[in-house]
Amino acid sequence: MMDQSYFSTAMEILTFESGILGFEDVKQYILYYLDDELPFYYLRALGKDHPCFVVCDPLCFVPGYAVRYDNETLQELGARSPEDIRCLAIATIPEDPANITVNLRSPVIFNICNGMAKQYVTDNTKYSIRHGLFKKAVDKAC
Amino acid sequence: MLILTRKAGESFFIGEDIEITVFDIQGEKIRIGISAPENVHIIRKEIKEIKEENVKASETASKDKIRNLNEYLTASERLKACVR
Repeated sequence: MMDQSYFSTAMEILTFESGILGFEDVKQYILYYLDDELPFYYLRALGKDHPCFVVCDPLCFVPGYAVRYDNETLQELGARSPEDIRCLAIATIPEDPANITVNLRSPVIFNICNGMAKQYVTDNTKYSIRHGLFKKAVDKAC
Repeated sequence: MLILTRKAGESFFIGEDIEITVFDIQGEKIRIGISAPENVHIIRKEIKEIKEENVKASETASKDKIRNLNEYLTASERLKACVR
């Protein structure tokens, strides 16, 4: 098993009924705090080392970041209102961490009440799949 | 790139057995119908890009990269303020 000394407390077990895009067969993940003082978390397949992702709270970096959820999505996650939904962006970490990018176009969302989760593809083309957190976006919104 | 002009209801073929029909046009959105053999994989471009980015993201979520990121973020101090 992976050395977990870099992750502190486990927060939540998340169930992705449709998996995460590219990893459709993996349905259950566990979300850890990476560090209690940082807005980054670690999402790892339950009971396995792979797949795993570093995710972050996009609102900490992109003021006004907002995703509109359709009713179908709310129902799918068993959410009564958008307030039940928490949203995290998947990060890609290059050799130089200053060049980290996050996927604002399709965040991981989950219902805080029951752990039902999915990767939600927004139709807002303003948000990039590779948004540079500390530098300019690597590319234009796709 | 080949560029064709089609009206709603008109179609064209790619090869012998893939038919693309312009279904209707509503403002900025165009609905397209695709008739293709079952073994032809059809995927929206952004979904393909998201899948590829997810695979890359997963490969970069290694212990070393996370340690680097942690050190970078801790050193920068700039993020601590926004953590609730």
